[in-house]
Amino acid sequence: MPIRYDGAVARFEGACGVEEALPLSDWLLATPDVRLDLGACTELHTAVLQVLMAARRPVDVAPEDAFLKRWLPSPLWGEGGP
Amino acid sequence: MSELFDQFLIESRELLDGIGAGLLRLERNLEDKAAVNELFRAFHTLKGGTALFDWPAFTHLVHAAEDLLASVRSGEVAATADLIDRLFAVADQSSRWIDHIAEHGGLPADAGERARVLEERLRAVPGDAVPDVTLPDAFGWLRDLSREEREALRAAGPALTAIAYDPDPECFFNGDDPLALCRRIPRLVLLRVEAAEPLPDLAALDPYRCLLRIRAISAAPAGDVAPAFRTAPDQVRIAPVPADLVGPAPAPPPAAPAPGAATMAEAILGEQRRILALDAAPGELEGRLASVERTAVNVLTALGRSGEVAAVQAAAASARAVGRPGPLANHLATLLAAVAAEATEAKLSEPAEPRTARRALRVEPERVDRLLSLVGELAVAKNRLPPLVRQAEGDRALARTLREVTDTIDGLSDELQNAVLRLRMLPLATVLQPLPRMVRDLAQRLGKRIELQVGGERTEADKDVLDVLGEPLIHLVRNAVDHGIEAPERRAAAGKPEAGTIRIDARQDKDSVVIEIADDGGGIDAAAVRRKAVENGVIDADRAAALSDAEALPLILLPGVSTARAVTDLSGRGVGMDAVRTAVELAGGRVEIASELGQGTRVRLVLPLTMVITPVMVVEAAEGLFGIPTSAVAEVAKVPAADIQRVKHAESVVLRGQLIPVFRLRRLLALPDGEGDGKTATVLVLRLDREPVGLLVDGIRDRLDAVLKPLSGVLATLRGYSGTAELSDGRLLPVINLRELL
Repeated sequence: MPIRYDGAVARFEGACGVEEALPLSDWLLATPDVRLDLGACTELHTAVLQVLMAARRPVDVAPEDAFLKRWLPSPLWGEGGP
Repeated sequence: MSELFDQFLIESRELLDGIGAGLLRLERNLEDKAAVNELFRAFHTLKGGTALFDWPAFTHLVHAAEDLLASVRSGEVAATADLIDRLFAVADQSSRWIDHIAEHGGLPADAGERARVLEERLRAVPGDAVPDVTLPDAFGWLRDLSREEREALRAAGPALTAIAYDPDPECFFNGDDPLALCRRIPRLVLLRVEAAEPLPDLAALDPYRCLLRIRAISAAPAGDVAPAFRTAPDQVRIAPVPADLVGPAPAPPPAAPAPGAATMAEAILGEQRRILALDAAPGELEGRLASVERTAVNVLTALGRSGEVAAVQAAAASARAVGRPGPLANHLATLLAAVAAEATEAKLSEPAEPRTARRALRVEPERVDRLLSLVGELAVAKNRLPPLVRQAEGDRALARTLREVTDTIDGLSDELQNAVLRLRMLPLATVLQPLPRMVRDLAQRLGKRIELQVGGERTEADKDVLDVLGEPLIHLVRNAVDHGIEAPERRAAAGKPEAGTIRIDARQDKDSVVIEIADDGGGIDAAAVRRKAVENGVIDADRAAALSDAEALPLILLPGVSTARAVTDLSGRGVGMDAVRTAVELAGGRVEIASELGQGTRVRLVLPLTMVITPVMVVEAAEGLFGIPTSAVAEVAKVPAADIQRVKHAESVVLRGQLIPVFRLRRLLALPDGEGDGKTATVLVLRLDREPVGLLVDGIRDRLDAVLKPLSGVLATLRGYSGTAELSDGRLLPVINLRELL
């Protein structure tokens, strides 16, 4: 599973494809006070990114992938920056 | 917010006034290099001011205007009427924003969009020497880049390629992943993933519809970028980035902060240091550090010192770590020293503009008014001295000393009064200033050519007088543009130059300020005025026929007489001159009008220099005291009571061979009839309009300088009085409004 849900924590790992968008959306709607860990994410499908943007919750751990870290829209990072 | 903010508002308004005047000058002479330079500097300084606050749309717009002027200055772009129109549009928008900022503390929500539209207009220079500055709509966002982004672009090289990628909303179903496509863009310099429309809440979001769009810039040529979008060629637009968008190489915006910027930055940083020095309640420190850090970063960015931002952030971090403001405060001190040095340098290197003038003192009008009312009370107290002098006449030595003291106090009180009144004096420029722009715009709309000449802007008058003057002046100038100056072809047919002239002259004449508005237009047809006045029942036909042209013209000032042939949207319907007369007379002034058919019209407004202190004559009627404004009294005549002749109900007296109608103040005020001493009658000869009128009073008691207070409450509806003044014994003196009474 590219996204592992562990209680209130979602860990993004490897290539997160379009099929992750709907489950992520459902999980975000059902879970209060989530923690989003994109550290190990290497590819993020646009649909998944869109879910994250619409969720309006900051990412707690930024991806190590240089492209994602550099270019994902800044509102995702909340106050702290990437 | 702060004094700095207020200062910004005041200064930007002054700059915008200057810009308006500069544009008009440039329009008169398109080759006026000095005007271009001044405009460039004014826009540049305005930009510096906006950059200190966080209003990127404002800054960008003003910057675009500045850029355009730079091209004009270097001769790349020619100054044209059209170009001036576009710069006027920027100035107007800026004024509206300043008003909005003054009221709400920030820009309106649509500022970005408006700035974009105006910037596009600014850049769309027809026949421009640099053809590639026009940009397809899809690349408007290039103008909204942040300063950091621009810097990154500049660092990436001169030839950049812009990419606007608007994925099909259904693209996920085709197996497209827009973000993945972007990984394939060679030499990516900038990538923005943004919502094409505001994203709905997560619950309402369809995760399989793509609502995002992508904006990117690559340092690779367009030919190398296109292959990345092989699978979505219809959803992407690729174009070279115009060089001017990245910032002209010789003067990139951040590297050249406005001359005043360093000084302002110094003030802001100093303020931040003061904030840090304040005692912070537990828990407050965090917020305070964050705010100071943010402000300092903004200031540095505005100064083009982005390189020093990291050091500020580090200092803030260590302050947070130790839980005390010390580290950040110390760093600010260092920064302040550096910025202060720069400010001094900027001052030294500034061209020797007449900036050395001492700083004007801005005083709240209320404080001046308070001072003035004290002076008024002093004048009232002073009025109690002459009776004392009279009482002391038994003791000649005392009486003489008292008289001397009285004279001295009189003199001082007069000087004090004049000094305070001078504080309220403003140059007429403040009311004349909007006129050139107005004339220009109206003339353009009406297809007329008009030259406006303004003289005597430095003539001064009381602030209240100026307030009264503004509206009538605008009205009269509108009339001149609209009804006075003829269309060019009619002027040509009449053998006049095609361009009409309107001349406004202001000057001081003794205790009055005189403003003359003259045009060389078609003039007013006295016969038409006469006819209209008769039609509207203002005057009967016989009397109208007896009037000379010069005598008939002032009829146009009466309600319901207007000769405008065509009703335009400019001057309304026949309310104009009447409104002008009413406003001016309310302020104690008068309107004179002269016109010659075919040659032009001259309207003269005569207003008192000050409105506040009114010399009045205290007269007696049926044991009551009343004030009559001295300005209306031409002469005081003592005549034998028998000389007042009665014909039916009308009375009159012959003075130096002239028959003057006489009214009795007692009757006018509905007081019981009676005589003064029965033998001599006191007649005030009043000059209100052209005909002198006599006012019979029981006697004259005194003259005084009255501070006129308007009647308030229920009394305000008494139209026979213009206000009250306080007498030396504390009694109130009603001051008569002669025009209403007679």
